[in-house]
Order: sequence, then C-alpha cells, then structure tokens
Amino acid sequence: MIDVVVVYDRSAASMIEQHVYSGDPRAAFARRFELELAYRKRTDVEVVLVSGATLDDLKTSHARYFDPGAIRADRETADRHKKEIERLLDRAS
Amino acid sequence: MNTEHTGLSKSQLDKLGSRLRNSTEPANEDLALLDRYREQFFVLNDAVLGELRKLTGSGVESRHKSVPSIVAKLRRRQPARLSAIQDLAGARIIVWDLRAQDFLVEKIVGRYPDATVDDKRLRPTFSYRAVHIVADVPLPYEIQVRTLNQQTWAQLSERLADRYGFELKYGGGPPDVALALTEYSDFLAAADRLVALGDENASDDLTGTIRAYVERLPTLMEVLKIR
Repeated sequence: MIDVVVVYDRSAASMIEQHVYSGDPRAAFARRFELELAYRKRTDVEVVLVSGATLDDLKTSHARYFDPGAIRADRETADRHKKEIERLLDRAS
Repeated sequence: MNTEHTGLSKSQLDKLGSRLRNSTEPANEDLALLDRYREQFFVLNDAVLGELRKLTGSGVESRHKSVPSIVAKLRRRQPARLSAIQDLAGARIIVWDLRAQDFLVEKIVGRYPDATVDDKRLRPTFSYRAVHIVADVPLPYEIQVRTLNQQTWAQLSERLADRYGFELKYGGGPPDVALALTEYSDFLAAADRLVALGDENASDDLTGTIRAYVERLPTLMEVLKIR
C-alpha cells in the first residue's frame, strides 16, 4: 500500500509536487498538513492525499492529478469508445 | 451524525465549517482543527480499504477530500454544515460494466447493510453518473463505484473544470461546453446499456440513439476542445 501526497495547481492544470510514502501512512498524513499550511493562501491549489496498491493504480483512478495534460488521452479514449460502439452497432444491425 | 469519535462536538465542527466557508483563506488554527477531525477518517481508511479489497478482489483506491473541495462544498450548500459532509474520506472502485457495477454494489451493501445508496445512474448529478454508497464505519465513508465509461467521463469533467472553472461540474460554465459534456455523458450511458444488454438484445431505439450520438461525437469533441 502506498500513500501519495499531491500538490495540484488547478488553474495551470499541473502537478506542483508529489511525495510517495510506502507503508508509512502517518508520515503521508503529516506531510499533507504541512503542505496545506504552506499553500493555504493559494485557493487554486489542492493538496490531495490518495492511497492505493500501486502508483499505477492511482494514475488510473485519479488520473487528473498525475497526468493533467492528458486531455489528449481522453480524446484517444473517446475514439476507442467510438470504434467499439460502432462494432457493437454493426453486430446489432 | 455521531461525532463522539472526532474529539469535536457537532457545534464546534459546524462553527469551523462556517469559518472555512466565509474566509478568503483558512487560518492556520482552523486547518489544524480540520486536520484533527479528518484524522479520525484517516485512521479508519486502512481497515475499510482492506474490507473492500476482500470484496472486490481487485483494485480499490482512496482519497481524502482537499481543503478547497471542502470549502467549495460548504459554499454550495445551504445550510453549510461540515458535520453533514459525507465524503471527507472515500474509496473509488472502477469496474468494467453495468453488470459488474450492480454485482459489486450488492456485495458492498451486503457487507454494510446500514449503508445508504445513491444511484446516480438513475438520477445523475449534473450528468455525473456512478453509484455512491455511504457506509457508517462509524463515521461516514463514501464508496464510489464507477464503470470504465463513467470514470472516463468523470475524469474529463474534472479536467475541463480546471480549464473552465469549478462551476462547470455543477451546471455552470460556458453553456456549449456544459451541453456537450451532458451529451457525452448520455452517449457513454447508452453505450454502457448496449454492452449490458448485448448486441443481440439491444432495442432499435437504443441502437438508433447511439448511432445519433456517434454521428455527433466529432462535434462534441470539437466543442470540448479535446485534441
């Protein structure tokens, strides 16, 4: 299990910093608080604590924080969905 | 809600919520109080995630609500009560399709029989679809179960909200973008239904609806500026 503290700039849609903790959730919780204090004047900045089995899992479930530029990937996903749906529609007709 | 586990009374919590809601930037002392409250949720997290992993046999990720998200929620709600927020801590589980979603929701409710279920597939929240289960463990803990399509849409909505402003998620923002997001959500929901029914059982109405969406997709992508 890993805990990751992410500092994310919403207005720039980019990650400012990331801290990964393996097997030390308390340290992650404490770090989040330190960072919340540090960024408290920035209302456009989110300090987020996410936990999961692996970093790759978190990159899927909370993709926005880890790959903010990935609106591109949304387009690819949309294109893939379109093809899959068209295939299903062909079979249905 | 039961606040005896938090070390703060309900009244203290709600006064804290009021200050957070009304201040332009949170005071250090208020962040410390909020941290004390959230710690109780954090302590529960490992145990709940362990339970959910046993139930799902697959990936479960958790997140703790950030301060700006808490403040935004307090500002959206009237009355704005911190003690009433049910998703300070939560888990997210992504499943392949609607059948897997139904199956998993049933298992989770079986494990937490007193949980409340908000089926946002039937009543989407500003086009957001998922099933949310709030378990009392004994503090409220929100479990989001999303299909892959619902997850795709939710991530896109978050990213577009970064671009166009938080209000896009709550019915505001540029009307053409909001409308395109709604149409895209409807398309993905119809696609989920098609997959659940199987191509042989899909009605002509459903396939017709989806064909119309497929034709509209390039326009939607253009409005959403997904390139």
